[in-house]
Amino acid sequence: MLLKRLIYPIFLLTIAYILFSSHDAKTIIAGVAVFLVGMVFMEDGFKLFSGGMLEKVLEKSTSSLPKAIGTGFLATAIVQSSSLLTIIIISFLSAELISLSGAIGVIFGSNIGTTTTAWIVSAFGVKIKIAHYAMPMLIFGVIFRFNSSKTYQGIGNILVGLGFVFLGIGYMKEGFEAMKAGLDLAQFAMDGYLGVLVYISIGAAATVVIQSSSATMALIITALATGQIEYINALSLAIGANIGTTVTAILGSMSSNFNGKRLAIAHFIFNMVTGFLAIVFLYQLADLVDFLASILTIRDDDYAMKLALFHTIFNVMGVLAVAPFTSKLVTYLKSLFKEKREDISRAKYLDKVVIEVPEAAVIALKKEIIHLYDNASEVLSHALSLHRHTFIGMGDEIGKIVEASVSMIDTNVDESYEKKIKSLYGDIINFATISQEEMSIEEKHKIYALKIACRDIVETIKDVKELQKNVNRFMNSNNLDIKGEYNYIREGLAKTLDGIHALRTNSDDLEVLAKLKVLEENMNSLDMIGSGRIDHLIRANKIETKMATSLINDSGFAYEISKNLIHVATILWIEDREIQELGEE
Amino acid sequence: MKLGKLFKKAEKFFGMGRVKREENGKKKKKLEDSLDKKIFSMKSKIKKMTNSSKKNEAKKELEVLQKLYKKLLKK
Repeated sequence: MLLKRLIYPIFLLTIAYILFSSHDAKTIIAGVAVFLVGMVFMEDGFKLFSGGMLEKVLEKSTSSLPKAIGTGFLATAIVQSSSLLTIIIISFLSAELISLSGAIGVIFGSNIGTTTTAWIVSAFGVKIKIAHYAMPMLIFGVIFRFNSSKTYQGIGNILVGLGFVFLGIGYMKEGFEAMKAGLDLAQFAMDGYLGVLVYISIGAAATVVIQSSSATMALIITALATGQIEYINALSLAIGANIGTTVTAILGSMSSNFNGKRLAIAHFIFNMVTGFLAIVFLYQLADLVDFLASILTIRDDDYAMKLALFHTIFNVMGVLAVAPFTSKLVTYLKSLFKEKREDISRAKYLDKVVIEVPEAAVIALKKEIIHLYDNASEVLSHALSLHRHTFIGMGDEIGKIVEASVSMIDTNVDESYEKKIKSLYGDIINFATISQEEMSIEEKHKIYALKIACRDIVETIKDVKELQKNVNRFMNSNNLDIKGEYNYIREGLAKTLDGIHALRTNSDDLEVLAKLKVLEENMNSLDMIGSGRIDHLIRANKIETKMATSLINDSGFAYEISKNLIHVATILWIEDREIQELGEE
Repeated sequence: MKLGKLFKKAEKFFGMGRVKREENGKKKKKLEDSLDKKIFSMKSKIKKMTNSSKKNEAKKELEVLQKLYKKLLKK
């Protein structure tokens, strides 16, 4: 514990010492810091610029393993950030938008995609005076950042990010070139597998400290290009960087949910296998790099490009080795980190990690409200002394089923509300409020509608509590007319629940809207006054006055319950906002 | 941010606001077409139905769709 507390201050003191004792080391470390700032800006820039497109692509393109790998590769190569992709993937996993095998595929692809940074650094960073291009990028990037349009702001961030990345590379290169005069790190080159293992450890340690394998690779490439390290040691450092990145992922997953932990372990296993294979076949891979370099017209002494090629090759090799065992890996991960047993009173989909991705947050919220609806429909049914499994899917037979359901279900609606509704409702409202902060106007409208749906669901529970008293009183009454009227109310509400249930899997929004409107029209007869049913009963002396007033009130509650349930269904099961709005009165 | 306001004026000048209006028009047209297709397929479905209660339900749905179509045209 004491050691843990001391590590950070010791680290800071070490850095401070290095900064003040060596001007060249200061330049190199500053270069790494500027490079990392650049990566952050690029990540934010792509988030703003893509406007949710990245999330849509990730959601749709992970249905098979090859697709997921391809998507992971392209997304990381373009966005230049595997950490952004990991955040999105964990959010999607938590909201059950993608499967675990799809998520693992994306991680595999992302490992290959991340090697493009090495290509950029080796192709441009070390060959040209890259810092000259950094300044115009920074200037234009800052100008664009002032624009009110999120797209222009995104472009601005990307330019600023690229500018800082190039500036960082420039500083690192400058630092290593200056350092060579005073201290030639190449004198510390080591041969053989001992050298390989030592440099792998250094590469891993550097990545753990810097928290970015891209930054470590940039450091390795610039050191190699300036002749500060030997080629074979640089290859080992690259393998170490790959392994070091898994430590970052494991540390990051400690505060994560079970999905984050599963993905971190998958990442760890993948990189360990890749690292092991790379160590065993290091010299053979180096020969393969030489062979491919000649085909790709990479100069024999262009060690920076050859290092980038090696980095890509051994990651591809890792994917080819591990990908065929993905299903076994999924089974193992699911057994290692089991989902907590479902507590129906608490949220299933609302994890704080989901808030990171607005689109996933909206979908998770919707799923959670459907969970709330399911809990509420159970409470409603029991309050009417009905079991859902007896009438759902029974359509025209519901009337007979209700008549035959004469046993009262002893249920306390207040208790059921406390147990199955209140906490979940609270979780939903809390999540909706927090997640709205980062959302677009369109997404905020969706959240608003979902909150209304929640409120309507809770209203139905409050209304059914009032209705329950007289349902229990009259469902077995000797007065067949009043019994019939209360069975009519029970039947009407059961038909509403049944009608909504039938629409849940219907993806045709217009059909869903039409059916809900018809259901709404059919339920108008629940309103005793509006339908004229109560007049006939009173005139024919079929019911007493007290019964009549109870019936009028209770029919009002039933009508409101039915109306609210249909409104909730419109929000939850009609996707298209235009069609939803068209259906509103 | 004067620069921000300058960008907004430039967008207006180059007719970028028009783009949004055109997009809304396209959405409305797409919905009209979908409704039209739905109404047509509903009518064909009703003609082939034999079960009277299902036919009545379908007729009610058709009526709803036709009302929605009229409402959309008035918008």
